[in-house]
Amino acid sequence: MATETNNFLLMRSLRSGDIEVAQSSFGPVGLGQWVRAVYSIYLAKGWQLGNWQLASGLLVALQQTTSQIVVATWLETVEEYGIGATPEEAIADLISSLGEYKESLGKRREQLGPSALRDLVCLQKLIERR
Amino acid sequence: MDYQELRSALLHKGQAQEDAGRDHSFFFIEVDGKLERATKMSHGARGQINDELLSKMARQMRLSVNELRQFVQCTVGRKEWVENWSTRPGLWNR
Repeated sequence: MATETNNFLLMRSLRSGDIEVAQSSFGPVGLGQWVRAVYSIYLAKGWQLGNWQLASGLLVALQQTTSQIVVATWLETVEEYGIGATPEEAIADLISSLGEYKESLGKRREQLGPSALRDLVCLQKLIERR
Repeated sequence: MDYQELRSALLHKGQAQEDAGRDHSFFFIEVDGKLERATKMSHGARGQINDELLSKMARQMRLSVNELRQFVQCTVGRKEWVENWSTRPGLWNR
């Protein structure tokens, strides 16, 4: 099972060459003027943070902006993000957002529209309470 | 635009429902009689919303950043927003 430490070590172990490759793949999309760098990071199944644990792996896009770190999901359905002063804070914010969003959807399951239902199905496979 | 302005617009102009979790509030709107998630805000969020976050929130709300600004300024109303919802599947195969 992956640990927080292992995953953060992976993130920190990126060499400048790796980062360049990661950035270049975003070339045609263009980085906004406020974005200084973009990294893609894989959070492994079993990742635990606070009250939450990933039930499957999650690919995220981490953007280093001029004022903060923004981490966004790289999923077909759920568009969610987290922010923080550091990558660790931003990822923690994202994970708690995903968990709370799942529970918020679950409370009103019978009332949900198609997009929200798709989000719920995706999140039920992705994240669970520890 | 600051967080309070957007929250107020969501709740009053957008008639959104707010569900407060431990760290975040989620805003839901009714589309065709069903609830869809509009966006979310962190409880600790204060002050101006920077461009990057505004872009993320607009995308969740299926609006352009310009339309989101107009929504807060009242030049785009709830009716137009909801009417557009179903015609804008989003970038990731929604």
